[in-house]
Amino acid sequence: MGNVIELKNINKIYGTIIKNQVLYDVNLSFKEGTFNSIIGASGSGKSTILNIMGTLDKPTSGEVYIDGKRTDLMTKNELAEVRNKKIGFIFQFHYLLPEFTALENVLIPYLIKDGKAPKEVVKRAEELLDLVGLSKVKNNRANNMSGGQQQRTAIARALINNPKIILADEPTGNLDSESTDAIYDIMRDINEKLGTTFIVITHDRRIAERADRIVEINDGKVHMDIVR
Amino acid sequence: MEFYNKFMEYLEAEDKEKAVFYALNLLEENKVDILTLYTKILAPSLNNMFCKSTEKGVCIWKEHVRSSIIRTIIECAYPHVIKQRDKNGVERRNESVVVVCPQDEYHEIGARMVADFYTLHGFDTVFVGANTPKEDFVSAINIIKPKYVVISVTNYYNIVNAERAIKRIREIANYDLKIIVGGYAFRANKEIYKNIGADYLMDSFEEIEAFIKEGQK
Ligand SMILES: Nc1ncnc2c1ncn2[C@@H]1O[C@H](COP(=O)(O)OP(=O)(O)O)[C@@H](O)[C@H]1O
Ligand SMILES: [Mg+2]
Repeated sequence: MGNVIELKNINKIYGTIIKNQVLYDVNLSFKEGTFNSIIGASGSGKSTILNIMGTLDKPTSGEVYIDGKRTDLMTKNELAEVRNKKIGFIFQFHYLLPEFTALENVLIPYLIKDGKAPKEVVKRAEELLDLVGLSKVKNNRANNMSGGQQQRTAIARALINNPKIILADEPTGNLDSESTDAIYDIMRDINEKLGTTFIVITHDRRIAERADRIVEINDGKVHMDIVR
Repeated sequence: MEFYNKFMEYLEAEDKEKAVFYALNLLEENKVDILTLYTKILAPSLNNMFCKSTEKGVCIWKEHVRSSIIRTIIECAYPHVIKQRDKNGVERRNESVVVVCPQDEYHEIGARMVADFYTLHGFDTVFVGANTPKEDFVSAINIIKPKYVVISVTNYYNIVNAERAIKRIREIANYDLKIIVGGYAFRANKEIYKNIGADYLMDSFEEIEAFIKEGQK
C-alpha cells in the first residue's frame, strides 16, 4: 500500500528575531493502514512534526503530502477540507465539553456547524461509541466520566468523519496503566477493523513496543527508525 | 528434521519431562552436537513462539512455559558444552566475552545459547542475562576487560535501551572493546546497529563462528 503521509526535507524554525530551529531536514513517510509510534525526549520536536503532518502548523521549508496531495502550499480553506476529511486528532487533554454528553461530544463538529447532526451521523456516532466500549454511558455528561472514558470519547470523536489517519499526541499521557492498555487495544482494534493509519506520540513503552514501527526523534532529527 | 519435529511435539504439548529427556538424550547418545541442538532444534522452536501483537489470549503464557522448558535443557547441557570443547581440542584463549540483555529485555535464552557458543570456542564467557541496567554492567567492564560485549535484544523497543547501554560503555571503557549486537529485534532492522554505535551485528551461529575464526588469524 502507498504512503498516506509523506514529509520531505522538513525544516522548522520558530521565531523571527531570535531564531530557534527545532526540525532539521526531516524525511518521514507512513504507509496506509499501519500503526506507528513516535518517541523521544520532551522538547525534541515530536509535537511539531505531528502538527505539521496534521496541517495545524506549516514547515519553514520542505514538502508535506497527505494521501498523495501536497498540502504545504494549500490555502486555509483547502487545508481545513483536507484536515476535516482525512485526519482525526487525539490529544493528551481531550478538550471535551464538560456539560455535554459523550454522544454530543462526538457529534460536536456537526452541532457547531448546523445545530444538529443528520440521522446517519448520529447512528455512526453510536456505533463508534460502541466500538470504544461506551455504549452504556453514551448519555452521561463528560464531567461524570472517568479519565479513560473521556479519552475513549475523544477517540470516537476523532473517528466521526471516517478519517484515513489518526494523529495522537500522548493520548495516554494522563492515564494509569490499565486505562493505557485499554486505549491501546481500542486504537489497535480500529486500526485493524477500519484500516485507519495511526501515528501516536507516546512516552509509554506499553504502546511503543506494540506498534508496527518506532520512530525516535532526537534534537529535531529522526534518530532511529525501527520496525517490528 | 526428524529430531526437531519430535521435539516440537513434546514442546507443543508442554510435556516438560519428555521434552527435556528427549533433547538431553540426543546429546548423550551423540545423535546431535551442541551446535545442532541449539541452531536446528531449540532456536527454531523459540523463534516460532514469540507472541505477535494480534494474537490474544494465552499466547504469553505458552511462550513462558515453553521458554522455561528450553531453559532447563540449556542449563543441563552445560557439562556437554565443556566436554565438547575439550574433546574438540579447543585451546582456552584467556579472553573473555560478556553476554547481556539491556534493561527491560527479559528474553535471555537466545543470549544464553550464544554464551555457550563462545565457550565452545575457548572464551571465558560471562553470561549476565536479562534486564541488566546499564550502570551495572558498565562498572564491571573495566574489571573483566572482555574482548567483546554481546548485547542481545529480542523486543525491538529495547534497541533504544541497547543504544543507551552502548553509549555508556563507550564512555567508560578505557581500552579497545568491540560491541556485538544480535537477536530477534534486529531481523527487520539490519542496518540499525551502526546507528546505535555497535561494531557488528551477528545474527546466526555461522556468522559468529566465521567472525571468531577471522579474529584468530
Ligand atoms: N509555538 C512555538 N513557538 C516557539 N517555540 C516552540 C513552539 N512550539 C514548540 N516550540 C519549541 O520547539 C521545540 C520542540 O517542541 P515540541 O515539538 O513541542 O517537542 P516535543 O513534543 O517533542 O516535546 C521546543 O524547544 C519548544 O520549546
Ligand atoms: Mg509534545
